[in-house]
Amino acid sequence: MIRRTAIALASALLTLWAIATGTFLLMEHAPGGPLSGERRLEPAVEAANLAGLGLADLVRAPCDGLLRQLIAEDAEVEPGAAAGVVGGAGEGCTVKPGRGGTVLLALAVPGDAVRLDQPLLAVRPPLWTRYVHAMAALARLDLGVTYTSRGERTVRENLADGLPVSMAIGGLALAFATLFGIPLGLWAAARRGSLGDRLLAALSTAAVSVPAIVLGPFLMYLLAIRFRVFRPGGLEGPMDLVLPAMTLGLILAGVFQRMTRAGASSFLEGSVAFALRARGIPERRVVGVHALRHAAIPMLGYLPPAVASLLTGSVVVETVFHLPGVARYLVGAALNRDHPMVMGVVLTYSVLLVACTALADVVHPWLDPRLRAAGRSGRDGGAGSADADPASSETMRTDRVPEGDRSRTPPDGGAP
Amino acid sequence: MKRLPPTRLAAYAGLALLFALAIAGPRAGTWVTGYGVDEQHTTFPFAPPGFRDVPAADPAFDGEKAAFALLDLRGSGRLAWVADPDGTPRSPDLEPAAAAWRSLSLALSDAWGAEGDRGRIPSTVVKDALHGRYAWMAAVLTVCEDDSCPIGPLVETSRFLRLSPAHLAALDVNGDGVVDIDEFRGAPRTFPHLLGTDDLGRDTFVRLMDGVRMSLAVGLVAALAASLIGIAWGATAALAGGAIESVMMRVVDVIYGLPFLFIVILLISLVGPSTLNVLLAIAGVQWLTMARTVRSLVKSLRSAPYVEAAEVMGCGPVALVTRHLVPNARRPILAWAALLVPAAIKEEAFLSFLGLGVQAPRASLGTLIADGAGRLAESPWLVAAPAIVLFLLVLCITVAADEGR
Repeated sequence: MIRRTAIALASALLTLWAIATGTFLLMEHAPGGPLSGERRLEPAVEAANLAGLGLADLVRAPCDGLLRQLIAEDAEVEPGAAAGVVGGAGEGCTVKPGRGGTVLLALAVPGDAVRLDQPLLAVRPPLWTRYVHAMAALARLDLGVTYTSRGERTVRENLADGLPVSMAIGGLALAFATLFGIPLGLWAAARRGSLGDRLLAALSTAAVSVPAIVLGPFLMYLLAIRFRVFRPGGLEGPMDLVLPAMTLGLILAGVFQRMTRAGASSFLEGSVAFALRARGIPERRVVGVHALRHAAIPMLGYLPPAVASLLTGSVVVETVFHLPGVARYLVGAALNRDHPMVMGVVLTYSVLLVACTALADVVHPWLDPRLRAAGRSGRDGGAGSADADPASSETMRTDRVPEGDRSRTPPDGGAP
Repeated sequence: MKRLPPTRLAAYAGLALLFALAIAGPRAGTWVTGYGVDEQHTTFPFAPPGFRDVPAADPAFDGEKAAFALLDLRGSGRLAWVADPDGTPRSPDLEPAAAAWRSLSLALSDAWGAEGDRGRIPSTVVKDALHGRYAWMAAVLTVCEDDSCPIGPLVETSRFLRLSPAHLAALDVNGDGVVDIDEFRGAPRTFPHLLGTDDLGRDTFVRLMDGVRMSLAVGLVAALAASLIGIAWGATAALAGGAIESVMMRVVDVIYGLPFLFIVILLISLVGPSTLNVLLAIAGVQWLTMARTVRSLVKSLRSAPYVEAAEVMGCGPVALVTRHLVPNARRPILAWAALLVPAAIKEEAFLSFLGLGVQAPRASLGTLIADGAGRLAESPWLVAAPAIVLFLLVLCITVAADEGR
């Protein structure tokens, strides 16, 4: 158990490190940025902006030495931003065009005379230093400032504004899906082949297929415009969260219903259920306790994809229902090249998702005795055969697949 | 899961219909309705389905020669047109009619803004717009009563005013620059907007045809690209084995643990939204499932008795792959690739809905839904039509692909 937890934790941390590094590199090579506007700003203004966004350090350069040093140290040349400084006698120096790598911008236009007590250069530290700084900032949960606010607001403030709303929608939707999907799945499994089962199968197929951008407006039209049960948008009270949560919950309930039905019916047809019934255990208990427990195992493996689909879906329903969630910041940021904001959302959601995966990994053997046994005798015993036939696994029907062989339902139902 | 044949039949029929729509595309829509895909009727934004207007892109003529006398103000028996240096037809003969329509449409626009297609405008305003020409008034004002004219019938009776130089050029079969009474085939015919119009007065039906095609094309191409990446990755991992395999699959695991669509949004915010970027981004995240499936498929096939038997009998690696692995892996891979299509379509719609995908003036089902989402109460058809089509598209492909498995 401890070993398993440690592995899950290490794997989660590795994933997070990978994505943090990935986003850092992407950000470094992002074409265009907050300041690549149409109009060229005064060098001093632009440098101040760069410094304000944490993209550069303002350096009060001694007229001569520093620049020579910078040019010598770094061969990377930023076209258009290169500058050199000559002179240095007494109270001022003159800027002239030259080569400069880490120099982002001279505050003075070439040809200008600059006084010694002014900051002279916007300097970007080398990549490695920037990387260390970025990782240190992330460790302090400092996600930087948003470009769109011109450095007025930090990404964390925006997330603190939006996340509670998004999380509330996601949590309600998950509760909705669990409350409806699982019992209906069990019900259908207990009455395999009946009219109700087939009806539910059709309904869940429809629910799985319907995109949130279709279901959201539909529910809004039906329940908020046609029949004024809810308000059509905005957030003034908790009732306004019901419709968005229902939109996502219905879609997820379809997935849950299918998975529960598949897991439970494979159990109910197996020898274990037969033995339970032979011992006189009432059918109600066989279905409600034993089949449910059996069906819960693949569900747990589906938790991370479910959370992922809730996060994406919440962006849609927040847009449809005009809710002040993360979507408000994310979409605007993505359109306006506000990279820190987009990356803040991606990183936050990655952490959430990776945490869910790790949690599912850790809790899994606790629910599934077979894994504990497999863990003792070295993993992967015969897993290849379960892995080999993707079509047999119900969990694979959805567009995201739970990780690895551990989360699948073995075809035989599993004997204790 | 066993499904009844009617389900399968319905899915295939629906799929065939939607594919036909997509292949036919906006041109077919224009052929049916006469409205062009970018043709704007700014006088009548958000027109309800069934509102009749005069299409410009592919006009039809009503065959009533009476309109000729109305337009031929000089009584010369000929309407002349000339082509500008850049090819656009011009006609001074039609200028009075065009001017009358311009002032009429201003009045119509006001009434439309206030009351929509049930609006009425005062007869006096119409008379003013017609510059006191009695023949025009006699033709147009027939639908007016109690000093006010309903918009819909007024558009119908005043349609002769909208005969444009382009129409003249189309009517001029012998190409001599004049249209006489023999060549004249009547005033342009009105045609209903089958699904209403959008905020710029563009015909929603024709744009829907454009959107279906775009959505389906992006879905198919993205799924194909994702499948190819996935097959290459999975097969390489499975055939290489050992450390290479575990590293390759570990990469897949790591990417799997990330929020897919947010990474797509991140990529798009870096490179800018466009159809191609959306396509690449979707393909870039959709290949993971395929890589896993192909890897396990190839591994299980490698250890299958008949493959081992073939190896023992001296079958070379190339023959092994082409004679045994590919034929046996083909069906499940195809089924999985088919399931990627609805997923890709959904993702494209999602991104386009947020404004991060297909950009105006091109339309996809997602942008069409987004365009109408703000006017759900007033013009529900704007969302309803693309939403229903998107749902059916995803549903039919999903059901058909499930059957294929």
